[in-house]
Amino acid sequence: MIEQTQALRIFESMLLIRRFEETVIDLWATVETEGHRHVYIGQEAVGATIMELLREDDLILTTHRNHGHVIARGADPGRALAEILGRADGFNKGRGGSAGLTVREAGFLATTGQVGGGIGLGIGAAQAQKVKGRGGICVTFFGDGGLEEGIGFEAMNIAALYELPVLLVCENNSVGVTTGRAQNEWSSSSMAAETLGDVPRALGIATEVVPGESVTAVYDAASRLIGDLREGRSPAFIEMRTRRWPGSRSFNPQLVTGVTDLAGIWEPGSVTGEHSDWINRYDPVIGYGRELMRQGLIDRDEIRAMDERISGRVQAAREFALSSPLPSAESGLTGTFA
Amino acid sequence: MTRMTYAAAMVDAVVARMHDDPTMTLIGSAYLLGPAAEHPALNTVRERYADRVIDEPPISESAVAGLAIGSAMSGCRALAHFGLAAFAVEAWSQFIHEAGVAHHQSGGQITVPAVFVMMHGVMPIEFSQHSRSPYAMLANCPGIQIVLASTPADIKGLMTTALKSDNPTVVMNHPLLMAMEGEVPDGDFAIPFGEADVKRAGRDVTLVATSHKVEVALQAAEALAAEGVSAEVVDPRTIVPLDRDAILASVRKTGRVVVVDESPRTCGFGAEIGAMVAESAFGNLKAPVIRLSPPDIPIPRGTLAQTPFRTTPEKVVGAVRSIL
Amino acid sequence: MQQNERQISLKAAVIEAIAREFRRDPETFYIGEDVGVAEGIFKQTQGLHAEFGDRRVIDTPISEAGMFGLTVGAAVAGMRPIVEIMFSDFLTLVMDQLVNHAAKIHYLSGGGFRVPLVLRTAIGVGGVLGSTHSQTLYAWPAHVPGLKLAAPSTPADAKGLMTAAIRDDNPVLYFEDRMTYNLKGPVPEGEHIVELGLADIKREGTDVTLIAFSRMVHVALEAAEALAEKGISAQVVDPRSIVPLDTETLVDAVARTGRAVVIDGGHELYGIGGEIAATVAEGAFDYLDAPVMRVGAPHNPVPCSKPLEALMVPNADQVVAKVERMYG
Repeated sequence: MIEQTQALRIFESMLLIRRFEETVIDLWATVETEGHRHVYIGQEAVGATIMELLREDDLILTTHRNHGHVIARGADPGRALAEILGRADGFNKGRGGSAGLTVREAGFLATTGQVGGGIGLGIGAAQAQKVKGRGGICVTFFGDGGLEEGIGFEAMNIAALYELPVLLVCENNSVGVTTGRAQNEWSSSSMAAETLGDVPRALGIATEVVPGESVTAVYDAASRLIGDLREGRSPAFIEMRTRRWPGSRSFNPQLVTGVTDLAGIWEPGSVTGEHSDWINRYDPVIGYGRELMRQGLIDRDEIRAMDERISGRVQAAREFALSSPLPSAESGLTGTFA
Repeated sequence: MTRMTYAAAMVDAVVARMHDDPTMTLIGSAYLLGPAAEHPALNTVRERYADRVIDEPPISESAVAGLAIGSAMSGCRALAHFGLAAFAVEAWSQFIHEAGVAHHQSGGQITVPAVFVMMHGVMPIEFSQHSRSPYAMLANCPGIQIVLASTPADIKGLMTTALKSDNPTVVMNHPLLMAMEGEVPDGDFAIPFGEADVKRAGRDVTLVATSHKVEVALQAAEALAAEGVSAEVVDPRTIVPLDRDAILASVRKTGRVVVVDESPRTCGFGAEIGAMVAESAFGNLKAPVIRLSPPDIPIPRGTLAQTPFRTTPEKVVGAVRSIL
Repeated sequence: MQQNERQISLKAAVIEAIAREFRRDPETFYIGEDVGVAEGIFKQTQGLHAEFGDRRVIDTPISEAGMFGLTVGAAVAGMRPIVEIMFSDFLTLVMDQLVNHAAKIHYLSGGGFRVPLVLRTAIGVGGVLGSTHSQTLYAWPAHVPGLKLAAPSTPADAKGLMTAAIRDDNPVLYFEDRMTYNLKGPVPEGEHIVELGLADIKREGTDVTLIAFSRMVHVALEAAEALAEKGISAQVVDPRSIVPLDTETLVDAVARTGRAVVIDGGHELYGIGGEIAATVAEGAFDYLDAPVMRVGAPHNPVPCSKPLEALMVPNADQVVAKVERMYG
C-alpha cells in the first residue's frame, strides 16, 4: 500500500520527468540539432515508483533511455540537462550526452548505449552488493531489445545461479511483444517467446508482468520483489508494459501530444484530438493525477501549484544548461585512464 | 627471494590481494594455475572467502566480464579468469564498450578496477580455435591496460600492480611460461606499468620481445654472442601503456631492431613497434625493422602448429644475421 | 562504352552493386537489423526489400551473434549471403563466430569448405553518436588471418569492391564510412569490378606519398591540395582493400617519392596505419629520405559531443604539419 506522502512524491517526480522531457524535445526544436535522444514520456510511473523504493546505497544501471531514471533519483536537473546538451557542466563533462548520462553520486554506474550491455554489468553491481553485505541491491533497467542479445540470457543465468540481488526491470514500451512492424517501431524488435518473462522464468527467476502506466501496479510488484531481494531471495525480473507514446521516434522524438495539459486530470472532457485515447488510457501522469484526486490526496489547485514549482525548476535547469559552455575540444583528449 | 614457478608467483599476488582487499571478488579461480598444479594458499582463499570466490562460472564470457566490470564500477575490485584468450573474444564488447570507455565517458566519475586474465599463444596440443594472441586488438581500443609478463618475478609484480590499479587491465599469460621457475621477491612487490625491462644489455641489435618470446630472444642473444654479436633484449612488460622511451633509447644505441612476439603479423604488436621506431628513430636506423610473428594463417592443431608457427631462437638469429 | 559521366552517391553505388548481384545470383540474400521495410537506418538498403522481398532481405532481432552465425552456416551450405552489422562497434558482439569460425573454416577443413559471405558495416565519426556507435574497428579483423577487408573511398570503388566482395569465396568485411554515404562521383553502369588487393593512385605527385583509405582519402586529397600551394607535390594512394594489401604498389610509390604519411581514421595505436607504416618503412627502407609518419585518431573513446568528437577525426592540417616536419 502506498503511503500518502510517497504517493505525492511519486506524482511530483513523474511530473518533473514529464516537464523535463518536454523541455528536451523543445530544445531540439529550437536550439540544438546534433545527436539523438530517447525520452521517457509514457514510462514515468516505472522510473518514479522504483526510485521511491530504493535506498541510498542501491546501485542502478540504465540505458540510452535514462533521463527519467536519473531525474527521478534526485539528480540535479540542471547538470543533467547540461549533459544532454553536451555542455561542460554536465555530469560527464559533456562526453556522455543524452545516451550516456551517468550520475555516480546518485548510484548510477555505467549508462550504456550497447543494447543489453547493462544487464551484464548489473550482475556485477549485485555481486558487489553481496560482498558489501549491507542489504543493498542493484536495479538494471533495459528495453525489450536488451533480451535479444546473448548477454541477457548469460547474465540472468549467472544471477540465478549465484542468487545475486539484482532487480531486472525490462521496460517494454512496444505496442506488443512480437509486433515488430508497428508504427514508428524499428522492425527488428522481436522475440519468439510468448511473453518476455518466459525467458527468466525458465531459469527459476521470480517474474512479474505489470502494466507500466499504473503506479499502483508497479509499486505493488516492485515493492514485493525488492523486499524479497533484501531478504536474500534473488534475483527478480519485472516486465513493465507501457503503451508507446505517440511522439516516440527512433532518434528524434516529436511532441505530437503537445505540452501536457494537466486540466485533463480534473476535466477528462478537455482531452480531445487524435491522441486522446493514449492520453486518457495510457498517459501515466494524467492517470495517476486522476487517481490521487479520486483518493482525495490532492486537489486541482495543489496540482497547479506543484506544476508551477516544477516548471520553475525545469526553467532554471534550462537556463543553467544553456549558459554552460561547450567543453574545449582538447578536454576530450584527456581522462582515458584514471 | 623465493624460488617458485610463474604460476605460483601469479597466484601469490592474487592471494595476497584477496587477503588485503575485502572487496575483491575472484572469478574463475579454477583456471589460475592450469589443470595439474596445486596451491595450498589458493585453497585457503577459496574456503575462507567463499562469498568472494567463484571457482568455475558458466561458459558465458560476456556475462562473466559484466560480472567483473559491474562489480568494479561499484567499488569492489574483481579479477576474472577466462581460461583462454580465444574464448575471451566473446567478451570483447564488455571489455571495450564498458570497461574501456567508462572512465572517460563518465567524465571521471566511474573507475573500473577489474583485471581480466587469460592464456594466449599457440597451445601445445589444442584446437586452432584455442590458439590466439589477440592483445594487439585490445590495444587498438583506448582505456585498457595490457600486461604481458615473461618471468615469475615480473608476473608477481605486474599482477600486484594490476590488482591495485584503478583501471581495467588485461593480463595475458603464455602456457609455456606457467612452469618456468625463477627467483621472486617476497612480500608486497609491485612493478609499475609502462616500464620496460632490459632483460639483457647489448650493442649491435635490439630484440623487442614479449611474453614467452622473451625467453626465445634471450636464447637467440646467447647464440649471437657466440658469433660475436651483442644483442639487447627489451621486454616492454606492458604494451599499454608502452614504454616508448626505453625501446627508442635501445634502438638509438643499436640501430637495428627485430620484434619477436606471438600476435599475428598484420596489425600486430610488431607493426606498432615497427611504425614507432621508423618514425621516431629514423636517423638511427641502420636497417629496416624486422617483425617475427606467426604467419597470417589460422593456427592448426598438434604437430602442424609446431614448426612454421613457432618463432625459435634459430629464426631470431637468422633475422639478425639478415640485417647485420 | 560505359557512361562515366553519371554521378551517383556512394550509398547508391553500393546498393546498385548488391541489386545487380542479387538479380544475377539467386543464392544471395541480405540479413540484418532494420534492413527490410525500414531500408536501413541510413537508407543504405533502399529499394532492396521492395525488389527482392522478405525471403531475400531479412530483418532480425537485435542479435548480432545469432544473425552472423546464421550467415556463416548459410555460406558454408552454399549460399552467398550479405550480413549487415549496423556499426563496426558491434563487431565486438560477433567475435566468436567471426574469429573462431568464419575465419578458420576454410583453412581447417583443408579447403573442403568455403565461406563466401560479405559482412557490411559502417565506420566513422560524425553526427554525435557516441563511443559505441562511432568506432573504426577495421584493424581488428585485419589482425585475424582468414578474413578479407575492403574500405572504399569513392562511389565507383564502392560499387566495384562490393561486386568483387560478393563474388569472392572468402569472408569479406566491407567497411563504409557513414559520413561518405552521400558523396557523389562518376560510377560505371553495368558490371563493374574492382579486384581486392589492388591499390589506386588517386592523385599523382612526386615529393611525398599520402596513403589513406575510405574517408581519409578525401582528407589526404585536401592535404595534397594545401601542400601544392606550398610547392610540395603530394601523391595520394588508396589501397582500397586492407587484406589483401597491395604492398608492391605501396612500397613502389614510397620508394619513388622517398617520403610517406599514413592517414588512418581508426585509433593510431596498434592500428592499420601502423601496419602500413611498418610495411613501407621495411620495404622502402633504402629509399626513404624522411621517417614514415602516421596520422590517426587519438587514444581515447569517441565522446558523445559535437565539439569533442571533432578531434577524433584526422584532418588535413595534421597531415600538412607532418609533411612540413619532414622538410623542417
